[in-house]
Amino acid sequence: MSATITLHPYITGAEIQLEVNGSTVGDCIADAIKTYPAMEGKIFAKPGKLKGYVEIYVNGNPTVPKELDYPVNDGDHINLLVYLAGG
Amino acid sequence: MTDNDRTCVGLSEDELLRYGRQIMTPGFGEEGQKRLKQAHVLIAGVGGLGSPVAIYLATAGIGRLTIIDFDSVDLSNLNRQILHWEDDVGRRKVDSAGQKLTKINSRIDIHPLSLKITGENIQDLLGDVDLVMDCMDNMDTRFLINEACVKKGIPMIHGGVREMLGEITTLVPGKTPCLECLLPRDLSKKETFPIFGATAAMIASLQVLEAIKLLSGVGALLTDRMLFIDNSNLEFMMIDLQKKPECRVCGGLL
Repeated sequence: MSATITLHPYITGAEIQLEVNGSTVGDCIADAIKTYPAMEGKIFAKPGKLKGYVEIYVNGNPTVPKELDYPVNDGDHINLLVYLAGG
Repeated sequence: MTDNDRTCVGLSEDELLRYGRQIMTPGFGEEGQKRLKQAHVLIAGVGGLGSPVAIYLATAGIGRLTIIDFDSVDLSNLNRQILHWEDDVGRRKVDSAGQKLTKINSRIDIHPLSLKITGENIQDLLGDVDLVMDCMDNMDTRFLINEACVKKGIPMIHGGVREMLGEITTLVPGKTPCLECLLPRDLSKKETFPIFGATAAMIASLQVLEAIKLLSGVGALLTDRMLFIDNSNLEFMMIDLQKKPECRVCGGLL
């Protein structure tokens, strides 16, 4: 499956949109990491576990609880957000 | 101080001395100080961000501060919530904060409110408020406040922290994006977040400077941009923000 992914500026230094391939959100992120290897350390607390400030949407829909296992179809748009909720 | 005193345009000899070092700032002067004296600022949350925000707004001479928090002081708060001390554990946060703020500056009005901000009370709480300081620890309440501020045309200075990360932007209804332009309302993750006190203090200081600039009219505001700081490697990123014409909250505003 081919999708687009938008990455928050914290992850890549500037907001980036790129084409990725994969049948799940996790596959697509792994594909994006091939282009931006440094993003892995910024979004994963440990392998398979996203950091708490990362939230992923597909076509505007929240992916929780599946998150990395959330299915991706051709033409989908993935949005990888970073937000700081603490105060 | 009464509301009449607060709206009085003059500054006393004591005030001229007390605030003299900031009055000396070019472009700020006595007029800027008078504007701070006339202002009513609501601080939503007196925790990690709200403590230093309240301290610096009080020391700067904001005429009226309303501080809101429904919580009580816990030992685990003390690494960052600097208005609360060991003897305050178990006390209501607004009582603990109000007591210290009065000692910091007895010449300003401080209104502590121990309550939870809800969709039912937020409009009343905003009343004659000139500015809201977003010092909340959760997104749900932030979105509530954001929507009410947009409805009433009240600016809000957003701050958020976690670990060694911080973000800040100034939101002005009708001019800038609102919080809901930037983030979906249904953010799902709710968890106890890691945080260093100094991270909160850094963002809080910037929030107060934004407040002083906004209220006095001096300097340029952090509008239509978000400053995102990663203190783990001292990276500062300025992110351009876009207003969403289709935004459910502010889409109808120019």
